[in-house]
Order: sequence, then C-alpha cells, then structure tokens
Amino acid sequence: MKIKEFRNELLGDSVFYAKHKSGLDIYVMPKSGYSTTYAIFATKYGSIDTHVKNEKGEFESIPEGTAHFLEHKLFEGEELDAFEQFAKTGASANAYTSFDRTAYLFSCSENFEESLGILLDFVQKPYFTQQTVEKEQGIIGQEIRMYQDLADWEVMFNLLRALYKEHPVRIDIAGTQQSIAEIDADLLYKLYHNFYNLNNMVLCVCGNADTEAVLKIADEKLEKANGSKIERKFVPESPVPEKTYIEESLSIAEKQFLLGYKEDLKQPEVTIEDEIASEVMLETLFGKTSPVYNDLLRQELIDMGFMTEFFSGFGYSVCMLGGTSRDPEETARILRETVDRAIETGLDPEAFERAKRKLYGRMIMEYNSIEDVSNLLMNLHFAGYKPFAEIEACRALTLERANKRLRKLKNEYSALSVINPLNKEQKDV
Amino acid sequence: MAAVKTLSEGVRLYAVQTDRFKTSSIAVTMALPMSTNLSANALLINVLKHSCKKYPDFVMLNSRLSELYGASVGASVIKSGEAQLLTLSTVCIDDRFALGEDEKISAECADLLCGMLFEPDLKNGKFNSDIVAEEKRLLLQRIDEEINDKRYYAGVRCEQILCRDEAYGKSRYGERAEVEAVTPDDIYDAWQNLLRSARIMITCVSSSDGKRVEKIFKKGFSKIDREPAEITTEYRKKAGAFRRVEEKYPVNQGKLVLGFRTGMSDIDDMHYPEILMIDLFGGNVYSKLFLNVREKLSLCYYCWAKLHIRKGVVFVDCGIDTENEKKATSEIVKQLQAIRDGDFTDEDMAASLMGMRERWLSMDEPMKLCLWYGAQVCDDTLVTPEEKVAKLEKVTKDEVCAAAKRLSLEAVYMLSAETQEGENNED
Repeated sequence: MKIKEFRNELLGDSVFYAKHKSGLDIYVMPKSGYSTTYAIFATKYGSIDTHVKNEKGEFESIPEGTAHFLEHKLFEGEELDAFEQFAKTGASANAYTSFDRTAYLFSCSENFEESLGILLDFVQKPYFTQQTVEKEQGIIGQEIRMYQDLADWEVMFNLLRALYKEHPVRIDIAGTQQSIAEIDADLLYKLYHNFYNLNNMVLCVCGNADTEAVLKIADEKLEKANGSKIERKFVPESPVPEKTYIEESLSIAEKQFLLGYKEDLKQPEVTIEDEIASEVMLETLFGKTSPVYNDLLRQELIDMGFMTEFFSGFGYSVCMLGGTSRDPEETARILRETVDRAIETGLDPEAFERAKRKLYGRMIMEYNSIEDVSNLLMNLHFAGYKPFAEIEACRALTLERANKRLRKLKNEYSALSVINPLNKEQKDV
Repeated sequence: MAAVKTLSEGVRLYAVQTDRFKTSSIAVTMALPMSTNLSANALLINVLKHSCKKYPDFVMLNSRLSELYGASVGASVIKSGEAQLLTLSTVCIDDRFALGEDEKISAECADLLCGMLFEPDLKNGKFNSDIVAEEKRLLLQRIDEEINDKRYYAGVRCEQILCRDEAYGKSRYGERAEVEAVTPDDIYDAWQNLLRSARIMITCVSSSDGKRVEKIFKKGFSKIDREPAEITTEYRKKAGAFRRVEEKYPVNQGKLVLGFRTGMSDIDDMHYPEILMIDLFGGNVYSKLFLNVREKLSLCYYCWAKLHIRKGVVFVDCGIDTENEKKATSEIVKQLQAIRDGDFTDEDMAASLMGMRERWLSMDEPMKLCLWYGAQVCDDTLVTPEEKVAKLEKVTKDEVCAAAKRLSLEAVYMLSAETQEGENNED
C-alpha cells in the first residue's frame, strides 16, 4: 500500500494518506507530544440523501430521518453493543449525523488499537430487530422534541424551509415523529447496504497514533468492498426563495432572527476558495470591528451573540446573519442596506486584510484540537480536497475574490426567519 | 508537574511550557466569596474585557485582536462551591506561525490581558458610564435569556429550590434587580476589591517559559495591598424538607431535575467514592441511568447525574414527556437503590474507572489545562490529573455503596409542557 505524505511547512505538520485495498480512504495526522487520539469513521450519507436507487435503477424516496436513525441503531450489536465494547477499552465514543454525512468516532488515551478495531467492526456489523427499532423510536422521538424547543435550531431550519422549496436541506436531520414511525428493520438493512460501503467512506485519525498501526488494524478489520461511490444527483433550484419571511413562536425571552441569502448555484458545490472568500467577506462586513455591528449594538438592536455563517453543501449555499433582536425586521433592513451599499463601494481593503488575518489565525488554532483536525480532514476529503487546502486557500485569497462573493448576495434571494417569544403560564410555588 | 509560583499573597502562577500546541493561552481565575456584590463583579469582568487604557475603544481593541491573527480575549463568570469565579483569558497563535518577520504576538496578548486587569479605561478615576450601561444591558439580556435553553434553566431552578436559603442558591450573576442597580462607582469598588481580596490562579500554556507573564503580573500585584478573602462553603449532610415545584411552559418536551444532598460534610469527606458512585449512577453511556431510563425504557434522549463536589449536591436531569414524570422519577430512584445495594459488577466499576481516567488524563487542549488548575484556585495544594486518578483507583465497592446510601433527595423541579387545550398566546 502506498502511503502519501502531505507536508505543511508553516504548521510543521504532516498528514499521511493511504487508499486501503478495501477501498477505504485513510488519513492519519500524528501529533507529537499528545497523549490522546481521536478517530472518525464516516460515510457520505446524511439527511439530504432522501432517495435510494432500487434494483431497476430508479430512485425511490425513503422516510425523512433515516440516516440519523441508522446512526443510532448501528450502536446495537448481536451480543454486546458498541458502548459496552468501548467501556472495556475506556474510549469515549459518539456519533453524529449531519446534512451530508454520518460519522462515528471515539477518543482515547489508552488502548487505541483495540478501540479502533471496535469502531471499524461495529460500523460494519449492522444488527437490527423490530423490537430494538421500536425502542429507538421513543428515544429519537424525545431527541426531536428537545430540538423543537431550541430557538437557535428552529430559526435555522425555518430559514432553510423558507429559502428552499425542493432541496432536502429543508428537512429536519432527525426527521419527524411521523416519518420515523415508518422505519423498520428491513428498511434499515437495505439502506445500510446501499450507503455503508467502504468506497463511500473515510477514516481520519489524529493524535498519538502512527500510520502503520492504523493500517495494521485496517488490514485486520476491512475486506474489499463491493459497490462503488454513491453519486448524488444535482437538481438546480431557482434561487428565489419559497417564502421571504417565516416566523414561529416559542417560549423564549426575546425575539431571535436569521437572515439568509441563498446562492444561485450553477455547480453542486461551492469551491473551497469561494467558501473562504465568503467567510472573510462576512467578517469584513459584519464582524465586531465593522461599522454596522457597532451601530446595531448602539441602537440596542443586537447583542454580542450576533453571528454570521457561510453554510453550504451539496446543492445548497446560504450566507446567514442573525442573533437576538428586539426588532428583527428593522435589523434585517439595516443589514440588507449594508450589503447593497457594500456592493456599490466594494469591501474596505484594510478591514478585508484584518478579517483575512483573523481567519488565518483561527485556522492555525484549529490544529490544536485532534477532534477539529479529524473532522477537518474528513470535510476536505468529502469535498474533494487535499489536507491543508483551507490554509492555502486563505493565504491566496484576494480582495477581488471576496468582492465577487459579495456581489452574489441579492436581496431578492434572501429570506428572514424570526422566532417570537411565547408567554408562559406559570404556576409558582 | 510544572512549578507553581506565588506572585503575591493568594496569587499563584502555574506555567506549562510546551511546543505541542499552536497557541499561547493565559487564564486568570479569580475567586470571591458569594457574599460579595455578585452583580457588580459579573459586570466588572465584562467591562474589563470591553476595553482598557491602551485601547479605550471597543473597535480599536478588536481591530488589534484581528491583526494579531484572531487573538481573542474572554471573560466568564461561574459558581464553584460558594465562590464566584471570574475569569479573564486570552488565546493567540504562537509567534512561530506569524506570517511577518519578528512578530511578538503572545507577548502583546499577555501585556493586553495584564493591562485589562490593572489598567482599565478610567476617566477621572471613574469607569466610563456608557460602557457600564452597555454591558449592563447585555448582562441583563443574558439573564433574561436563561429561559431560552429549558434544560439549562431547569437546572438553575432546581439549584435555587434545593439551596433556597444558602448562598449556593443565588445566581452566578446575582439577581436581575441587583444588576440593574449597579453604578460605575460600584464597579470601581468591585475592581479594587477584586485586586485586593480575590484568590487568584494564573495559568499559562505556551511555548515560552512564562517568565514574562510572571514579571508583568508580579509587577501589577506589587502595588496592591493584598488581603485574600476567606472562602468557605456550607455542606448540609442531610436533606431538609422535601420540595417539589412545577412550572408550566408552552414547550414540546418536559424537563425533570432531581436535586440530592450527597451527605458530604466537607470536600474531603469520601471525595473519591462520591465521584465514582455518581459516574456509575449517571455519568456516562455505561451508567445505570443511560442504560435503564434511556435504553431500556426509552423515556428520554438524555438522563445524566452531575455531582457538584464543591457543594456536596447532585442533580439528575432528563427531558421527557410530561406525563412520564412519575415513571422517570421512580426509575431514577430505583437505579440509585441498585447502586446502594451493590447491584453492579466489577466490570461496571472498571468501566467507570476507565471512563474517569479518560476524562481526567485527556489534557491535550490548553484550555482544559487552564480550567483544571483554575478550578483549584481556592485549594491550598494543587492536584494533578494523575494524582486524582491514583486516588480514584483505590476506591472499593463498599465505599461506593456507602456513598450511595448517604444520597438523599430534597428537591424536584418539573418544567412541564402545557397541554394543547391549556395553550394560549395571550400576553
């Protein structure tokens, strides 16, 4: 097996990559002086994958929330479940499902090889019964309810539902009480065999581990996978939002809002250069040193929690701005005006340089964390980039590119999501 | 263990020199008794972070931080036993990652942090009233918004109910009305009091040796007549009269929190058995609560037990359907009984020990190191993770059972979901 080294002189770090004979892509970043190791094993299957090809090659729809349901159920084993196995090695294990992937992970300071073996094993050994599926419906039902009460979560999903008419980014990652009720053991097996194939997966390890040891465990635990990479279908959708305003009431103290600009995508994915350009552009225009941030603060329209985010994935891309405000509509009006004015004048070059330096520094800081590095390597891999591509893209970023990204923001492609406070009926004792 | 230095009476510096991180971090943790003006202290720490003599303007300060490659300064307020801990911290990239020649990022950040503490932006000896007013608005909003996160809010409510007549029952920020009443003069007094009487731990994790941090903070404290405050915490061994409080909110999921007394008489009283017992009970995914309340009965997505060892209390919390309160409560109590009865195996003990080892020994993040030692600000001798692990490993099954037997339930808080019919939107 050929091991390729990616070296970054600036950081003084190397990432080792190998294409395992089983079909799995493996990345290892050893960190000298570290006592802990983090490993993440992920498949390119998330909540936006709402269709599966049947035997006839036709796309069939599947219930919302199945990727997440499967994530929960994979922890179950015929004899011992994954948590019970990890309890014997001391590793701290977890998993998560996002829009476009499902990831299983652990961190440990002892018994790394044994824990890696458990990780690779349990993800490859599905075991579902009708009884355990039903049990999980109760647990996930509570998880869904918990999120329904969280304003930051709701304000974002409502925004996505307003912006996107078709794209499945608009559905909840865990699905709904109704959609998960449709899930049974047979369906889970079918989806498992479709999406969990090593050609569609990646393993990233960072910390006190060496590449040889990781590959040795991979040799023991992985067999050549049948099947190929799953291709997602790109269906371009009109950049015009489904709705320009959406609101909901929850039991909170003050209004919360999120303003989103949907991008008119010609390609399914935004390049890393453009992604970074958008992040720096948002920081330049709306960061803590920007005039508008300070004006809004003075007018008591925002607080320190005001944030911006560039949010994108396969077939979707949104610039988000939001926080708490006593008057979301007035705040959104000022933010939109700021965008329009900036498009005319271009970004302030000095503010742009500062924002770029800030992002560069924050990227360097990420390399402290074995968790962040492992997730970063996974993200880069799934997006088709090599290790350290984000640092290179940041260093090469020009004002011109950031201005070009700024000009993509169009008011007619934007929507505002608001959560209003709902008063409680209190029975105090 | 790196050397601990005393810079002034009640001011210690713990500096770890390592080049395994990409950053340089400093945290100054300052402890005051809960009897001081909590609101003025909480506002003070945010005012100190807002600006300083060198950078009197918020935009100027933050522009400089951006130029320093996204260096950050942070302020936090927490309760630890009956002490209010105020922390000012900074993180920046290590000088070796600067893109220009000879940039001294970490020295500048250390100076900045020191300046924030000793040289705030004063005009004629007074704090700027506009800044105080702005930080007051932001703090009041933070207090009001505690309700937004129902899990957090329910935890706070149960703490208030359990410790209703103790200092621990107070909010870390003080009461809302107290925050509103704070004046710039109060902030000045709080600042003077902080420098004079707080117990202080400065932790520094960096590729340099900490000499500069030592020098500048030593110089700062040399002008101060230090009188470190006595900080004590009341431990109540037995539960008082049982109380249950229910509040209804228009939510999808109810939140149940149970508040227990551990039976500890001080922080050293069965310290390690308590830790292991609570972990076995509800600290991790191998614990009784997760395996039974969640996995077996499917009542919830989360159910954890959390030990506040510096106060001798325990909280168990879960998110459930409101009508399942009784079912969940009786299962939680049943699982506690199982621990009391010794209904757990040697493997369970071993799993818990390994889980705790993992939690304590994973110190590959600078802020974790800063927090570990910052949390010991009031302790005379500092304990390393390895020392703690060694003590935990000596705990026996009998001790775990004995610790569980002392646990007594005193307070229940139920944030219940209003029924559909009861729901109304009137103001």
